[in-house]
Amino acid sequence: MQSSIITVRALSRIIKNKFSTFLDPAIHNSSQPHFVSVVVGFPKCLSNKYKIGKFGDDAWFTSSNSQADVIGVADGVGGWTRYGIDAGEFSSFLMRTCERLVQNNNFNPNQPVNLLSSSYKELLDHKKPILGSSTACVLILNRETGLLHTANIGDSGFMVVRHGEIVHRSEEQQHYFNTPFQLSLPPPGNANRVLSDSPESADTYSFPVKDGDVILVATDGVFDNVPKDLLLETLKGVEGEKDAVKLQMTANSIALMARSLSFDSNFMSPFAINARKNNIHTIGGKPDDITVVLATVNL
Amino acid sequence: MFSNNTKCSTSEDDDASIISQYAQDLLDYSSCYGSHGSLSYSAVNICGRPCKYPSYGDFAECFSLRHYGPRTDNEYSVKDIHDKITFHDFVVIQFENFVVPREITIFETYNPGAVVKILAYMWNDKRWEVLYEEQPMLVEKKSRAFCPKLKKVNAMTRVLRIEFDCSLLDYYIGIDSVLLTGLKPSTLIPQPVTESKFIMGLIQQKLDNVNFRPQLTASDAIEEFLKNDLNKFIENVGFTDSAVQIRREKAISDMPDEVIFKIMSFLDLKSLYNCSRVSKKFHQIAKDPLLYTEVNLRVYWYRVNTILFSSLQERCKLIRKLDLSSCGYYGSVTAEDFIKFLRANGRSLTHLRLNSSQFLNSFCLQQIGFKCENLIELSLQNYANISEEREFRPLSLLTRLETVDLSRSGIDTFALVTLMKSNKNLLHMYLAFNQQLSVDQICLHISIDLPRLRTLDLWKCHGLTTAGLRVLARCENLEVCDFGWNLREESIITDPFKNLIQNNPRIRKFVLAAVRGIAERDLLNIAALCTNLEYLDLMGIVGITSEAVHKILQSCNRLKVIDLSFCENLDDVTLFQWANEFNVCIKRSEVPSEF
Repeated sequence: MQSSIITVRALSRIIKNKFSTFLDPAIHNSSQPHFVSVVVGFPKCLSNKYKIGKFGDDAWFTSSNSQADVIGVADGVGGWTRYGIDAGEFSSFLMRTCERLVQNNNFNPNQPVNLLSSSYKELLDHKKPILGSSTACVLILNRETGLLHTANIGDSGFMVVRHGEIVHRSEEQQHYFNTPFQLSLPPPGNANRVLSDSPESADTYSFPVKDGDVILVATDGVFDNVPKDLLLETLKGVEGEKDAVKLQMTANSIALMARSLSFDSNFMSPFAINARKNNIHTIGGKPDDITVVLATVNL
Repeated sequence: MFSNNTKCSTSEDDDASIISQYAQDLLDYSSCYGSHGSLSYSAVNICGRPCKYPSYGDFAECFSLRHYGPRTDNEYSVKDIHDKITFHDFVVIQFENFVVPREITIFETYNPGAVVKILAYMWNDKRWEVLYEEQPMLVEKKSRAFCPKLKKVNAMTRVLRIEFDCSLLDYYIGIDSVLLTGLKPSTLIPQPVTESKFIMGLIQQKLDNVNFRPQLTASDAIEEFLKNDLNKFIENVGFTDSAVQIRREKAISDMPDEVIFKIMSFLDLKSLYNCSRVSKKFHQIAKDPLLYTEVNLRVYWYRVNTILFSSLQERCKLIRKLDLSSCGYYGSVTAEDFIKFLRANGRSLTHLRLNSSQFLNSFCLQQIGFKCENLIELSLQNYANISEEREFRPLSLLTRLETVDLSRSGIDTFALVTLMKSNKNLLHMYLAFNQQLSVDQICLHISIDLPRLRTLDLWKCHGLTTAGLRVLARCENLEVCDFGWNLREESIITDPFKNLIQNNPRIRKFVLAAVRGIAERDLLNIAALCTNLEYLDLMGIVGITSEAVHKILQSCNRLKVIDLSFCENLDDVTLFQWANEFNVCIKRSEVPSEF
């Protein structure tokens, strides 16, 4: 697979990591639809030790098998820290289980919701209680049909750009301002105080993709801080780009944009605009973990 | 075919015909910790590349068996003919390519040492070949790539059956994956025979493989006797008159039939069949139905075929206990054979075990219902792995059942309820892994219909809620309760839980693994009320405290084992002290943190 996963942790440091475990090159011939994808992100607090697959409380995965290419991001809800729960564990487990499930024989390339719900079920079956909650967004490219199937719970999301226009984007799912839909497993005794949405409540879309389409999958750290127009402007430049390195540069710049805007206290961020709509008078970005998965469709 | 399932060809020694491959498919298994359709701890994890090796720990990504340690479930009443044979768990896996096996590597990531037997199904001969057989061993507790010395064979295979004996282990095993290395067969690879195809076994082949080697200590004594003391014995019993002496040497066949019969009654099935071939007289005695009242074919599962089965049918006129577990792979025994057997001998059966019997189908169950009216124990574990269509309702024709094991059988709620209604004397009921059951409804019927129930196993049924617990509290004779992985949605279970343990003071084994809603007050109730506890499993309880554990240790004097794995707020040092102080075995397992 041509897709290479490149991860940037800080400005100066680029970790390049080709996943040889992904696939034998023989498994899909290049004529089949697939993603060229790259990853970049920042944890909110840069001092934490870097672990592959996560940026702070955010987690991501890309995986593929003979039937499909799959991308997912999840954002652990930080409110659990005060219960002594590591908010990143839930999201990280969710994504890694998705990754394993894609390799499983029962994987259905048309049902991203099934993927999320089986992953959630595995959480319940784990001996160690993994508590917390998380938003999640999963995209599956069915190689055979060329259809992209998506499922989204909460305020992470995706955006598909073709010919300089956003042709598809996910809707934010919120209970109320700054409280997204979330999969959750609360500590016992707290069940009724916690918002918990079933995987089936996910927003789902299925649509055909075309060669060269740019797909941005990101957590709210990006969408809350970078205005849509700016994102579109940046993404336009990589339409049809098959070179992972060039794609990586664009992804880096999106992540950097989000990072610097999130700490800009005078910037009228999408988050601040939303807040004002809800009668909360605020300005500036929203510092958060940032995860960007950028992919182009290769038919 | 996915990446981690496929071969990774190696060309060592410039020999391109050697290939190594990881398991591709799981065909069958006797038990696993995880539930069906889930990945965590389940048997499918044995397929594919190792994902955890060489780390050591209790990983969800590995295959783990449900049981460990010596089997203490003495509720199982079919005794093996010879006691030495312990229960073996197994897993049957299939690889992508046919090879002539040369090397098998088993990646063990938790509590290694349980692999006792490896068999391969030889496609050309259509039979199972033992590649490795050894006693379980105690080995160092770290992950290992176990590479046993295999018996040389020259036939090709791609299906392996690995058997485990966990009797020496003190906690669950973890198997990451299995690597099969072998020579690529130069001959044409035959198309795999479809599993349902009927394959006739040869009686000659069966007999060729039968060695006269009884596995009983008592039988050693018999051999000794035959060698040394037989002549003296015959003299003593009165064959001393000269006429006999002149005629010929004394032989064992000169003994009275009753004595020969008595000797034969110590023999195992293999030996009995060998005896039948000695002489007419021996044949007559060796086929006496009284020698075949308890037949355990589980240990001979890979030799049992239609012919053996029909010859048994003649001999088993008085059979009471029959164990056909694991028999019938690749059509070696068919449902028709079994039904014919039941029609002839079903009435006398009291105990019937059909765990993982491959030939089982709805028609067999129907015949069990019709013919086996005297059944006391019925065991149908893993039926759900074998067949899609299940019709359990005819089983409600049985009326005398005391023990019924329906673990992973896929029984539906309605059939189970009717079964309970017609068998009000049920004492032991095993329903583990049946996620399709509406457990609360079952509990309601237990409280109404089964006042004598002692054992209730609901491991990983998932459906139990406080409502079920509330009605279950009406039972009064429970001794073994397994609620593992139930009550997951419930956060407060205090009152019904207290009622249950109040009414059932005899509980000695209590499994509450991953009943996440258990809080400190529930544990204090256990300490106050469950004074007969011997085994307590509290794996993965979030709300546990040291004080509550201490209370339990103090007041439950008979407690031998307490499982406190994944209880994070407990301190290992204190627990270690308590283990010594109270003489209790405290189980702890951890996963190296990766998140």
